[in-house]
Amino acid sequence: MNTPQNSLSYIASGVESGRGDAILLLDWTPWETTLLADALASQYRVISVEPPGAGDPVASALDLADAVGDIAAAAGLDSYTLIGVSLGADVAFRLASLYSDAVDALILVSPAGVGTDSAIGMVLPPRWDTPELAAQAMLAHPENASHRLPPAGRTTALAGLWQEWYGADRDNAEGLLSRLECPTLAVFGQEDRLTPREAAGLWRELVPNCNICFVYDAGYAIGVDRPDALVSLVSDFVRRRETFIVENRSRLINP
Amino acid sequence: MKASYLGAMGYALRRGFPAAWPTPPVYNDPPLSAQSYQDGIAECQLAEDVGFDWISFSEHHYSGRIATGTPSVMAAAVAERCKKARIALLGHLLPLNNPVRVAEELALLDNLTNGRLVMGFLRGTPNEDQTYNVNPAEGRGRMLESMDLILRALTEPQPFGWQGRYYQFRTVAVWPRPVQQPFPPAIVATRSDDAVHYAAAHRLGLGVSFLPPDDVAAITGKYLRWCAEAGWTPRPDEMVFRGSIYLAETDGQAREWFHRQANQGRAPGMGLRSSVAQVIEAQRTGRAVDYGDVFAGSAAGDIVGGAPGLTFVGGPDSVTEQIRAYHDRCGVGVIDLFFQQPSLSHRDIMAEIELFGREVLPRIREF
Repeated sequence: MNTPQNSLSYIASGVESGRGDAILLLDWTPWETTLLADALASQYRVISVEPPGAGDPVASALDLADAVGDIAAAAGLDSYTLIGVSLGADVAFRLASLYSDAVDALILVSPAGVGTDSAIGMVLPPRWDTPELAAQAMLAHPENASHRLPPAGRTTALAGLWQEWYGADRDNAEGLLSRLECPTLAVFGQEDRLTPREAAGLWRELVPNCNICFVYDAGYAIGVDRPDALVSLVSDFVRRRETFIVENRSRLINP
Repeated sequence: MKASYLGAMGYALRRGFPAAWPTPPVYNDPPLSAQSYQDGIAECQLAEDVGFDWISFSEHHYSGRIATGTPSVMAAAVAERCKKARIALLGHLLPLNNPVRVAEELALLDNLTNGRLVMGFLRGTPNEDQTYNVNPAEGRGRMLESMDLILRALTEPQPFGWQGRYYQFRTVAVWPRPVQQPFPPAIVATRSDDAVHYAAAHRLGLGVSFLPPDDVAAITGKYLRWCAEAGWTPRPDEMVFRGSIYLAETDGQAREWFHRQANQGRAPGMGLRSSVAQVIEAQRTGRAVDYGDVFAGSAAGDIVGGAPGLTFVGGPDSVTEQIRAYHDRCGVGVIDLFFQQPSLSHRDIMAEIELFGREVLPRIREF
């Protein structure tokens, strides 16, 4: 699928079209993981959109949101749960504001902020364009990161996108947040060193129907630090949406 | 240096308790128990009157020696009588408790005391894992996660969820907010490297209990080094030592009392059967348990462990110098004192508090 600057590719997985609810997934951290896609594919039709590649011209988040919306339409998705991770979350909330009729629920994992002028800006690390630097910046325990480094090409591509989006003279997208009326979950790592401390509360405050959740012992790259915890949380919200706040696990010991 | 009085609220006849923990409730006579709490509150009031800076409370279970299983209830009662001293909850046993409930209790106490609360985080003694059926192997992890969650709950301005290892909540929104912002002074009471490091990394205070100065200095030395690495230096108030005390008018009187203890039924403490102690220790340290070995030889009901020995014993001059060692060698700025030795009556303890306020407190203030 083409944007004015980029070609985006996507992978369809999970149950066949028409037999399960659909999920549009933008898992755009430097780590090339199919964690969420694999976990959700057992129950849902998952369209997983890849981030722009290294060397691609850099598009704006809004242009990429348009392109992803086109992918959803081309895949025949009338309505879907939209999940964005890291830079994918930045595209996802724009997409949700543009296509509010199609997005049934929105999940943002480590949402990367809405601009340097916004209260929900980002702490821009000096550099994370190598796997080692990305691990240092994004993992809760970088001292143990040597066996969990992201691929170099993907890291370079996303670091370029990050620098562009969070550099100077960027439009402030904060005004879009009030238009996100679908059930929304924003997830943050408790040990996240890139997102400002106050950001989570601001998402909750500015987005009309937003739950926020912290994942303990996870940095910015939650899916790398605590994959099972992330899958459990996201799956629960996908299944039950805003009612996921109601406990449904039994504590009965000896019936 | 500051002084803190530990409001242990011991049961009046605690000297007659059996050695093993838990103490059977049959030993508790309700009218005497009620009077014991009133006596304990009076001791706290006197401690404040003579100049103690803090009144502290500590969660301990199933025994009348430190009879504050719900320390925030006790702290709230004393806070209504003691209006000047800081109320130091040193502290909740985090692995045993719902951390959101702990945060709510702490926030409420800080409101009730109008910002006089000091909060403390403990793991607890090995026997106490049994109180609420906590696996000893999980205690450390529960404590570390609880501290994160409590601090988040006290400071997060919007409702939030928590996806932890041991705790999961979908909606946390603690009311009221603490009077002291962003949160009351916090002391991590520990000897373990990971919790000491946590305190240093999170700019929290450190509490150490019942160890000789050299051992405390080794712990506080690491803490200060890790604080420096984290870019800060703790204030004196943020380094607390808790010890037991017996203060007499003279060293000779103190020695005489000390040597009488064996004959006066000084309780040996909260012992456990060796089999139980072995299993708890193994699970806490992650070792495999061979139950065949554990059970061997324990049928006789041998008791291990017990109350820690006295840290400070003597007349005012000696006790002052003993406390000075913790200040000078360990950097301790607050000394938290357990006066309620089992063989002492309420009258004895009141006299001891007065003596401390008159003869020791003015001198340790100069440290």
